[in-house]
Amino acid sequence: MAADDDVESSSEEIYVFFKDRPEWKDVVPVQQDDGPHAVVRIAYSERFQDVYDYFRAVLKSNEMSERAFELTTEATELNPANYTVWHYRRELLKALNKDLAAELEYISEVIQDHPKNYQVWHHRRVLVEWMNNADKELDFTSLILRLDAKNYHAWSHRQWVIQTFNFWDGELEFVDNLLDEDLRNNSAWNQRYFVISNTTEFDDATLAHEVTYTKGFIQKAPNNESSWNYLKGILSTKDKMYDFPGLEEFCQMMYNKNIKSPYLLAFMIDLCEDKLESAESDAATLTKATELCNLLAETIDPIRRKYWNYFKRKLTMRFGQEQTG
Amino acid sequence: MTYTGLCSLLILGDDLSRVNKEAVVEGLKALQLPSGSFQATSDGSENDMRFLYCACCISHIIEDWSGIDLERAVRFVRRSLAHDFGIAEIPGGEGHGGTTFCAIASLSLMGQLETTFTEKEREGIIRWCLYRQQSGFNGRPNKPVDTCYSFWLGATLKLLGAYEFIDFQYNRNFILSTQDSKLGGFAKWPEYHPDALHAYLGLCGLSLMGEEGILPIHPALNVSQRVTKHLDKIQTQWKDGKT
Repeated sequence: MAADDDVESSSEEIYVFFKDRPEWKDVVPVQQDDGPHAVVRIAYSERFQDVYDYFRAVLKSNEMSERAFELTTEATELNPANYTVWHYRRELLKALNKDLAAELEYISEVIQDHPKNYQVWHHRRVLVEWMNNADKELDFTSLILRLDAKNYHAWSHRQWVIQTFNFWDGELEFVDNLLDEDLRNNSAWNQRYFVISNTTEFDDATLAHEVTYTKGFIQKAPNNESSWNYLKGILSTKDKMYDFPGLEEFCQMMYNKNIKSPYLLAFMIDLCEDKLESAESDAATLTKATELCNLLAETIDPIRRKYWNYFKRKLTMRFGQEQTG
Repeated sequence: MTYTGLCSLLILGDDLSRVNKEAVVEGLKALQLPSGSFQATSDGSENDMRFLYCACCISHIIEDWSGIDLERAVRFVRRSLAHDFGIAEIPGGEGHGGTTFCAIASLSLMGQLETTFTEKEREGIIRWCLYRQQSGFNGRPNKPVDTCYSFWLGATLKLLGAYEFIDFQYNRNFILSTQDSKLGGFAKWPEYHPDALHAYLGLCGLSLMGEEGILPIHPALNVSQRVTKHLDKIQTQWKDGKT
């Protein structure tokens, strides 16, 4: 395995190994201990080995100095996923009373280079906690989400910031914009649920608004799993969903238009199941549900054929007995 | 690291007699947070479902659950159930195939899988997992399929007793299409560079379907059943030693 993350250095500047730097002459490098019979040894580059030999040395002596701090910069550049380096860097930040705003600038650059790395986001979160100031966080996460609107780390950080610093205002508009750009952005649908369930919650007025909003997106793209999941998710906050005004008609209207979305049919089955659970025995509803299961199994969603056949059997067993005897 | 360390020892046939189990338990106690979640190190790290899963595997392997406050752990898993019945890394987060596996496998190891969710929630989780199959599996709605999710979602469905509902042929064809015919191993996507993680999880995905020539996998611990049989033997010896 190669761990050779050589970082571009400017061509005019010639890189000098730590072992060749006079200011590091007093430090005895500590080599990695792979044990007596190393197997699958990692093929470190010479530079990587040099930096980490000196990193292990300062870690061992717990040296709290500017040069140690600079060394951690090199070490994180070579491997930004090393927990120990980041931890040691934070110890140095405290001991040397470093400027945390500058460090936040630094970690912003590192995150832009490594947006899917857990450690760099954790480092950022600790800095925000220490400064007790999250003024840059919404803009920063928004910047990262412009590069990848589904970046899990950016969303987690953003949720933490919003919850911790009470930044709920405007977040729903942020989600609106993302969904207008890409209505299949599942992370944005999740954020929508997150915001509402932590603010207004799904009271009657909010639920009615959200159902209408989601129906609009479903009509634009009936094959979008995310919007259907959201619709079902918000309706699940109620005891029953089948009698929600206009919902059954909405589905039937789409169905009559010959829209072959598996999510539409699955949702109609869920409405039937909900109805069967709530109402007196209802043979027509059961028949409708089993027919929909057949359609899914045979033509519309055959990759899940075995599931829809199972679901049909389950519904028949639960709700079909009274009719048969 | 403790989870992978213990698994590596078991894979190599070690009897874990040199493992300081008390220290391991004390370590776990120090890493669990009031929310029930676990962090990776006591120096401070992010905390989420991944480390809760590691803690459960560790406790299962050393047969000592006193390092985990089970009630809090179960509550953390429950709170991480997303609106679409995927399970997230932390409460409020987006449901994700990898963390859904961590959550369901943890519950299975804790012996809490049957009691944590309602029947409706369980059905919802099963359907969410099955919806992940496009040919192979994706990890979230509207994301591309990726070899590793054939294991994450496959093992989850196996633990939930719903693996038989997937389409074996599509899944198998996708996994094999990500194999690199020159370098060997599997990549996350066809025509992409193979790596150790996807090579391993690709094999695990095939193993779940009973692929010939591959050892059966233990879906919760994510090691082969050859290894769990060895673990069973060691654990029997511990019991005999104690009595």
